[in-house]
Amino acid sequence: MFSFTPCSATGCTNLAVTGSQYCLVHAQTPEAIASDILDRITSDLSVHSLTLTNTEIRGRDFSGSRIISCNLARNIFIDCTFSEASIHLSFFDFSKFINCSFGELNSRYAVFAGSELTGCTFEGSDMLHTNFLGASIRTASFNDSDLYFSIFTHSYLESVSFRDCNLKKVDFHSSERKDVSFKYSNYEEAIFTRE
Amino acid sequence: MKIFFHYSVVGFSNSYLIGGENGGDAVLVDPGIMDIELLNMVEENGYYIKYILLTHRHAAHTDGIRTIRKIYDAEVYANNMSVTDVSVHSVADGEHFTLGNLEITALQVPGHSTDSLVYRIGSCLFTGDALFCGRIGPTTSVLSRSLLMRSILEKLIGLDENCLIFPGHGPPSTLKAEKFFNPDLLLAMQHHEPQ
Repeated sequence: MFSFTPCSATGCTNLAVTGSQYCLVHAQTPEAIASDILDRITSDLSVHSLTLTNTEIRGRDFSGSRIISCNLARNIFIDCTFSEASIHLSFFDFSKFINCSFGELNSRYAVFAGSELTGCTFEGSDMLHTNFLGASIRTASFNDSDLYFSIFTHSYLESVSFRDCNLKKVDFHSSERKDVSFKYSNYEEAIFTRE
Repeated sequence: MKIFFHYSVVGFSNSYLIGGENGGDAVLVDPGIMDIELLNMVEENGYYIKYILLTHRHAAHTDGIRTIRKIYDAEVYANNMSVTDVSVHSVADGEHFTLGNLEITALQVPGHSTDSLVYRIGSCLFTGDALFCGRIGPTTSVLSRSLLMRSILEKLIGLDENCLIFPGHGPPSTLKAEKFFNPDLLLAMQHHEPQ
């Protein structure tokens, strides 16, 4: 897990994906490798220690999947569903999520740092210790979610709703917020400035 | 290598259990508490806590040691000679050592405390209270804050930006995300003149 085997192609700085010595750019059958990994995520009860980066994933249904200790950073997810999925200690940093549904997600120690999320919903989720550092989030809903100890530092939030959320220890320091609602949430327990 | 996380509701701190794929001797980083949840995690995965790594000697990171040592014959590694009356293997800055199958490098990053160590294991950095997601660790004076910033810039920022960060409090992160979005580090990098 998290071995971060570099791609074997000379001069390539990408990481090798699970099941290959190469990244998807240099693998001989990138579609087949990516499809195999995605099939494992959607069909197995839980997946551990998978690496799949730098690919576009469209229309996949990850509902109910248990994604544990995986590196899925720098991917583009379009129209994907993660409803009732569990994401533990996994990395989705510097990814793009477009029109994805994370309803009733259970995430612990997940990383979405530097990601762009547009038109996504996280309603009714438990997202504890989740990292949105530097994320750019537009037209999204976190309504009815527990976000305890999650980090939105240096993020850009536009048309985002945090209605009736637990915001205890949630850090919004240095974030830019436009049309953001905290109605019925305990925003006084969140962190907006530092001494 | 597998990594498991455990959250202590007493000191709001993280402990990390690191072991092989199939159980056996394991390393525990910063046992802030030893409770039934952590015990179950160790036992259900077939591990034996053989080694304890301490990032520093504050109670939120060490209070579980005595209980653990009543159950497991664990050796303790830290930057001190003793912690909570337990004798430890004192680790120096830059020291490389092997525990089980894990190659570990200790990096001294003082500022939060004088004995603060960051442990590098493969691509993972266990940063204790030196570096959190989106901020540097708390300090007690302007001088110690300056020391911490300089230590981070000199010891950590130059490492592979694919490195994963597992802090003593809050969610995990990546070195790349911290370099891009951590307001404290951005400020420090602005003012830091390479020596």
